[in-house]
Amino acid sequence: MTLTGHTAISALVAFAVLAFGDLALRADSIPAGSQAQNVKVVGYTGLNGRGGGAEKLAIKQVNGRWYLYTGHIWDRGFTIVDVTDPAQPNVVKFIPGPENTWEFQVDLHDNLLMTGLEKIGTGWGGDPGKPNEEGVLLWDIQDPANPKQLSHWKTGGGTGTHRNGYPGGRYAYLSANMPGYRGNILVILDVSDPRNPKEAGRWWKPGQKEGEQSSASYFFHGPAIVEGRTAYLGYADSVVILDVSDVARPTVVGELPVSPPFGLNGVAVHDVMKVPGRPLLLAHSESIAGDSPNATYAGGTSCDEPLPLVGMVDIKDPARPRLLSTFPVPVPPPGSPYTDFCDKGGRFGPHNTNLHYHSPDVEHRSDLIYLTYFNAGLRIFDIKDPRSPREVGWFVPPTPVKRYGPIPTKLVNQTEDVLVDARGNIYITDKQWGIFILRYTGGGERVTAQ
Amino acid sequence: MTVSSRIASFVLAVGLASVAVAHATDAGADPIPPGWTASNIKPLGYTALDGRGGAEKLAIRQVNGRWYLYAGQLWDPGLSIIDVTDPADPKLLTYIPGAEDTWDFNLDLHDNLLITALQRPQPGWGLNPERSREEGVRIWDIADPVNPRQLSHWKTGSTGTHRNGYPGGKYVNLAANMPGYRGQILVFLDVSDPKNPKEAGRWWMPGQKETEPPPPQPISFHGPAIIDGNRAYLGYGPAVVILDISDISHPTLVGQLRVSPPFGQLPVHHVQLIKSKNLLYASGEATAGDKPPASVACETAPLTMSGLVDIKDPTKPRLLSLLPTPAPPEGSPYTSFCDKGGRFGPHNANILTHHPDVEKPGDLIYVAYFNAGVRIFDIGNPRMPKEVGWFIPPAPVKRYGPQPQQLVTQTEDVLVDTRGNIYITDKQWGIFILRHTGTGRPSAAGSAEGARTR
Repeated sequence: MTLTGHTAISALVAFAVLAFGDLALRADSIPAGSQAQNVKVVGYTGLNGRGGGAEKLAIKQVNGRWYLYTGHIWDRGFTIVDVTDPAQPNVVKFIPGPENTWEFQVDLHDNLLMTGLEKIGTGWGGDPGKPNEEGVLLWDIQDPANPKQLSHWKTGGGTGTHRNGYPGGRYAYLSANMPGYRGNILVILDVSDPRNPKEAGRWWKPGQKEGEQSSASYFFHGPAIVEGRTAYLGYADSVVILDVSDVARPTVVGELPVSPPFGLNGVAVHDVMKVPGRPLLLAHSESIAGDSPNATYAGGTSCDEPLPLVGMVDIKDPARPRLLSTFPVPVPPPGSPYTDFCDKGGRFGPHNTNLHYHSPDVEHRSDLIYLTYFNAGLRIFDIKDPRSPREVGWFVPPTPVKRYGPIPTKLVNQTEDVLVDARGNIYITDKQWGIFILRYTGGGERVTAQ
Repeated sequence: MTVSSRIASFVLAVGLASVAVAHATDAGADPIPPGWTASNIKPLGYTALDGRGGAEKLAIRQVNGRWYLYAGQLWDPGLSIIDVTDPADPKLLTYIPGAEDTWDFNLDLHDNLLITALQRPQPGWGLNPERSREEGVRIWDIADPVNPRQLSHWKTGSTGTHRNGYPGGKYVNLAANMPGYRGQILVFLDVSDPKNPKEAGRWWMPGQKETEPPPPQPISFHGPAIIDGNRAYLGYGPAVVILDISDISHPTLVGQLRVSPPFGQLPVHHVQLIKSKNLLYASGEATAGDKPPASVACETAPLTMSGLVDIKDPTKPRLLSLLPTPAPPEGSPYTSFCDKGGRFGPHNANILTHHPDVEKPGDLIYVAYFNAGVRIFDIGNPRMPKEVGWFIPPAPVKRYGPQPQQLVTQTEDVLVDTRGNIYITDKQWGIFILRHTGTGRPSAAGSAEGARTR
């Protein structure tokens, strides 16, 4: 699909949505051919043809109605889906975003939605020769179906922001590409006046600021997970714990480098997730290898990269975080045409987890980890004994039947993000599918929101 | 432990194990202690080593159809030699007392040379470090396998050596405490004249030499080096290290992979070369759990590594996969071995594969796992190692040494001969002889398939 054709269709559909509202928008039938254990499919939405390549997810409940916000990899903008009835997800609206710009990172709290603006990566459908937008957009979502843009904060740097977090309150935490720095750094934004956000502080790894010496290259993927005065970050090669009681001057509490041996430096710790109510972090890499045998970045072939980390980190002593355990690696079900997912094609390995615990509408469980695993779909792990994590459920979407974007070269499912709402509905996105809505049927106890 | 008390405990052991009394005089086979649990492994035989439980490191050789197992003793410094020609009927042939109050349990052998290490012990292991008088390495002629003859004794001038290797030929490699260095370093010893060994070269990590700025974390080379032609593969402090030793007097770094942090305890205790797959098996030693509450397994120490490292590009070794963490069998009173007591985690593997009588690396990795016994992993697909068998000795009934404080099994070393017999040592047991009853063992290794049906 050419960019012009793509844009034209997007504009047309956007017009149709705006013009006719909910009229023609019904749930799509659930694509056949998925495989699962202890997970059942409840619903599916093809997102009005922008099915493939929904990326990050956020959710909000208002007056008994549930609104799912999702950014897109292949389309410019974000979509709002009514998932009040998980079996009947209805696209409410697609909000077109700036041209030639990724706007797929979303987070929200209360009435504030934040979307990231970022230069599209090479090979991902953008035009590097054309201009792009960058920074973050802040939206008022008091009317959840009609976000109203309040402001646009710019980094002034080259590529904008990546996975930002807004845990509510005064500050947003950005993964920002700032002028004068190498790789994204943590920028804390004061959004107390959301029409006029102001930088309140920043933190970077020594060596990122131009002029500082470093043999390594660092990149803060984001988000920061903030509990009280403590921020937990996956930061390039490390798990980093910061004291942010003075946001103008975050200070290091503790750090655990994990790369080498795990993962590729930039995303060796893609994110961390603070387990609610327990002194534990989930820390994991993002697998990169497998997009294309001709990929210009590291690792074109599946699994041709250092083993990605998926592990529990004990933070009883936050000054000395320690690796407690690693998770079992998913294996294909019996009868698969491959004995390990490395041979399936595309990426195989961890990517995202259910981590918007700042939201009361997100499930708070301290005994289960939901992790997307690219071609291995969604995997669910029991961490009741965090020394011995075990897999207790999984869902692998069917083989895609339609290509929505150029990656991966081999058309296989690539599960991207996962979000679980407080009702236990599990939403997953995929590069080449719409959004599957699932439920875990394996039992266990739910923990009430903090 | 004094000699007299050692004899006393021996008498006590015989008194408790009435069946052993009949065999004690002719040093015959002891009955296999009941209470073991296993999957895809069956025990063939057992030796209580004449009451000296707590054998540590193992080496083996075959001479004229007879198989001799050499075992260094942890609590009773010295060397036991066991005839294991019939794995169901192991016979202790001799025990050669070592230097008193000195660790003398690390050994290796090739052809007619046996090397045994001498090292000042750490406190808390039943020996008195203040009374340790010997250090270095002893070289023995074992042309007569039952009667080793000491040829020489090379000294470091410091506190001695730990796990040394002798892969045959001209050079022994030592994990040596040398004057002027922090922690053990790699020292090559020229043993072409075994009566007069000479240092041929050394290598250390920056920060180990006392004139260098100290490293942030102490570094020590546990040993041994695994030698393949001009390459040496080492677990060295926090890293897997590959050296070019074409000039033995100046080893040079080819590549390294730091694994600590995040992995901890003794981060890279050893590596095993699996040449046919271009892989190293690299493992740490779990050291937590000896003394509760001061030291409890899994409680405060970082996870110990047990994984495969891809060395297709030896300048950039890469972590390929981790071996799964063993879980207790159904019905155990604990859901994790962390709660069993003692240490839990990897220690030794079947690494003396330089020797023609030791099973060559194939699809199986044998790992001694302290309180989880011995575990066998299939690496037929090295990206997805899976556990295919295990054997856990019974709960010990007699204490042979002070560690661990809680009396539980602590499997220490594992050695597999070319017949497929698996020997394991334990801090609080003698030697169990086992067989893997699953698939995956190298087929060219031996001809003793019949032993499986015993």
